Amino acid sequence: MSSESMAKETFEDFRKSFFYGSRSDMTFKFLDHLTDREAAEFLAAYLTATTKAIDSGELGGLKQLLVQGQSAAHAHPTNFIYDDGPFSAFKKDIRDAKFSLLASSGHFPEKEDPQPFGENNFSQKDAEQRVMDFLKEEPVLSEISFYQKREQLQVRHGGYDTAATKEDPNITFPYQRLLELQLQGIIGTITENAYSFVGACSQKKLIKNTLPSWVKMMQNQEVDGVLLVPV
Amino acid sequence: MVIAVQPFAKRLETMSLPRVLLTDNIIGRVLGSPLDILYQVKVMKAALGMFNKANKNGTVNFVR
Repeated sequence: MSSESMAKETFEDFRKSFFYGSRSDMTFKFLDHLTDREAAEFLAAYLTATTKAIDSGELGGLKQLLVQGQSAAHAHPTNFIYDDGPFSAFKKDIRDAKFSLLASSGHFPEKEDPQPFGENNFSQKDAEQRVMDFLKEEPVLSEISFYQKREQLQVRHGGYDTAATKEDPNITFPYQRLLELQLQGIIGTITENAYSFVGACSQKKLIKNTLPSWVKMMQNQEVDGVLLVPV
Repeated sequence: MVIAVQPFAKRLETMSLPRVLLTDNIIGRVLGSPLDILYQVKVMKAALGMFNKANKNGTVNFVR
């Protein structure tokens, strides 16, 4: 950002710069969806809480403020409003049932990179810069063995901060936890693979073209229940 | 069965999903901080428990 544009920067420019702008930050990009007043009140409260956190060593207040800020930014209505849902009673005991896992986390085995837009070595930064292109595309499903080593798992998603899930994929893609619960007998069986895709995709194409085949795939494996993790 | 963070609560509510478990975390950290395995197990058990316990559409539980 040039010194001239910095001098002219308004508060609106500032808060919007976190949304894929000069200060792009996937955790704070929600500031774009707040009004100037809401964003100002959030930042003032966050600064106050920072001092308290330093004094007390407790980070819970900071996390709560961030949860509240992100919640306010995501409170507006979307196009996906339904009066009725597809509930069906679960008739089996979970100890006798078969489960699978499907997350919109953007994970894939390192040797099976889905190569967005046909490009090699596509980075997290590339994904963030081209998130609008992702939103026009049909999602690609990655099949990931429940026995996949954590260090051989990659993640790339232009819609959220992937730093923490790079350290531990289970916080957005809890495949190792589900496997452990199966091995302990808490649930019956699991599918051979867990599944992940980039949730920042064309929602219309996802619903009309992609999802029916994914449902069929689960039905063919005689799955009783799926854990869905939108990220 | 959907596991999601609290900031998505309003959006998920309008989708009228059968079973939702909300966690008290920020976006991108659905099951908390990295390597907090005890918490991850707590969330997973809470989610799996909802398969048998939920008896109507729109059941939403919360786990800290």
